Formats: sequence, C-alpha cells, structure tokens
Amino acid sequence: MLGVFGAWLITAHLDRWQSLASGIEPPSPTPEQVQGIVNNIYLIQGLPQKNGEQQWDVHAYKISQLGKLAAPMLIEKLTDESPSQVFELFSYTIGDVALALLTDIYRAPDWPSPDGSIQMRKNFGDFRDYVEFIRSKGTRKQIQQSWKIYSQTH
Amino acid sequence: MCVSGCSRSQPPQRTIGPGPTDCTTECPVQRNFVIVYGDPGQGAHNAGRLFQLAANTHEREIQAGSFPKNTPAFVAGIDRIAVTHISTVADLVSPVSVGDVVYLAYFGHSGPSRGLGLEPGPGALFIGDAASPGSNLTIRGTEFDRPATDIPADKFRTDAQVRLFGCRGGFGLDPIARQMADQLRIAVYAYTNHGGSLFTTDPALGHGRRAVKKADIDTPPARNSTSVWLVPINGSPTFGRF
Repeated sequence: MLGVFGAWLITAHLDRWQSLASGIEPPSPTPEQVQGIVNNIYLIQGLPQKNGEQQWDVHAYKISQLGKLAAPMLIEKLTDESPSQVFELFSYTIGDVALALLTDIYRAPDWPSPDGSIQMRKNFGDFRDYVEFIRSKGTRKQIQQSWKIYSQTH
Repeated sequence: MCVSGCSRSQPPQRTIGPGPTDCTTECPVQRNFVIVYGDPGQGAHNAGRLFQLAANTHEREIQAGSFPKNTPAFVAGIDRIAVTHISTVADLVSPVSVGDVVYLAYFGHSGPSRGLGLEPGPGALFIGDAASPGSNLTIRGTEFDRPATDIPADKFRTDAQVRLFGCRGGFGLDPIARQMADQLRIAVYAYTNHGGSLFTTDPALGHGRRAVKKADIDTPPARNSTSVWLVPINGSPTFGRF
C-alpha cells in the first residue's frame, strides 16, 4: 500500500524533485505558456467527484498545477457561458469549469463565492440550487467580482 | 404439514404438487439483497437526497422484480433486502458481513482517480464526501483509500452479483468494477459509458431502453420526484460485466 502511494508521489512530482536535486528551481511558465494551458479548458472531459481529490483529466491537472498563476485567466472565464465537455450531474459551461478549478486551486472557505458574500437560495439542497442560481441574470458577473477581490488578497 | 425444524429466517418451502401436503424436505436459505448509497457530495457535486431516492427506487424494483436486468430474483417472505447509507469502506463491509449476500448495489459518486502520470488512474468509489481515511474504495493506495480486498468475498454466494450505478464505474483502464470482480470472483456490472451521470424520472431511460436526449439533460428531476434513476449521460445506459 505504502509502495503504491510512494510511487504515485514520486511520479507525480518527479520533475520538481529532479529540479530540486539538481539545485535548480523549475522555470516558471511564461504568460504565453499559462495562456496556452488555460485555453485548453474546453478539452477537459471530467472533474473529480469529490472535493480535495486531484484532477484526473490531463488538461484540468495541468491547469491546477499552475496554481494561482492560472487565476486571472480563470476568473475571466467565469462569465463564459459556452458549453464544455464536462457533465457531472448537470451540463457545465466553461464558466462552471473555471469556477471548479478556482475552487480547487484556492481551497477557499466558501462556495461559489470564495468569501461567502453571495449566498444561493436552497430550494433543493443539492446541485439543482447551483444550476438555478448560476443561470440567473447577473450572477456570473457577481461571482467573478468576488473572485477578483479574493484573489488579490489570497 | 410441512417439515418442522425450519427457523423463522428459514421458513419451510411449500411446493406446488398433486396434494395439499407436498412440501420440500429442505429449508430454503434466506438470501440478502444489500443496497447502499454513498454521501451526497459537496458543492456542485452535491446530489442531496437523490442517491437515496435512486436506491429506494431500486429497492422497490428489486422487490417487484421489475428491474429489467438479470438481477437475482427476490423471493418475498424468504429473502431480505436492506438499504443502507455508507460513508466509508468499513460502512460498506458492515451490511455485507451478514453473509449469504446474493446482490449488492451501489449508488453514489465514482470515477477515475489521479494517475501516476498524466493519464487517469485507477477507478474508485468515492463513498464519503470528506477527505478522510477509508472514504474511497480503490487500489490507488493513499491514506484515504481502502482496496477491494477489504470486502469479504466469503460473505457472497457464488451466484451473487454486484451492480454499480455510479459514474464511470466500468469505464477506463482499471475501473473499480474490475477491482471488485477480481476480489469477489463474482459478476460485477457497471456502466461502461464515458462521461458523468444524470438523474432521470423516466423509467424507460432508467431501464436503459433508450438513449439520453437533450431534454433529459435540460430537465433535472422535480422537487417532489419519488422515483429516480441514475444513468450515464452518453448514449443508452449500458452495463458491462466484469
């Protein structure tokens, strides 16, 4: 069991460990590289089924590995209502996927607004509340604004 | 008069024959049908009470013999069926430990986990929605995971089957259905469709008799729905046998 976990740890972080071993920090991706990786958001085919799980989709994983470097572009995409390839109980727009990735990167204390400043009505007590909420006019802009403020201080 | 000596859980079995006193000389064995549902999930993954509703719908169908797959036939008055909420692998083992299990069904979150490289890793049942020890059933091997070998194979009858209703249970290189079949040595059925799942109130879709349409995607179950089915989003719901 520990062997499997150890192998996963080593492989998942191989590049970084090799860099550390050689005393050289891996170079930060250029803005163009960040843009290229985040723009592949439309290729993501699925998201983890549970909070705290690492991204299993290769494109989602690469974006999440960028960490906060990806935040400005992801925040810009929060209002993007074009369809994505993700369906997990409901059909995600690109904006929904961007929100999921921001939530994963920041592990913010609240959701969907990171600071809890925007509350959803709870008619169902499940994902249907989010779907109703996010489809209402002006909501995505509000969520985007709260993430802009939050990302500047965290 | 039927044979004596059968316990309450093993009532004498009456057979149809030429005379009113024809009985078998063996007590039928009570078999156990176990239906479990996992935690609802958090945030956008929160399924609320829908996993439970789907499990209850399945319970009714098993009892009525109306689930149109080759599930073991439930014998009223002899077999027993129980629906249980689980949050950990240990919670899953508990209802199975009663023994003589002929059927196990799971409703809840499942799918690939993070892999060693860039490809998706082994499949998992994400039973619990907290990142806590034993909340996932998978061979992956982190502190949160327990392998299928935790499930006691000797508690299942040789003619038993497992049916997984979660997302991607039979999809991918090392799906959780395969891991369970390797351990339990019985038939494990799981959706082989790719992509996530939706809840439907249409039994035709719930029984795999048609493919998912746009209207299914656009119309989640109403608040007062009492019968719901959990099906994959892509195509007709298809169970693969592992």
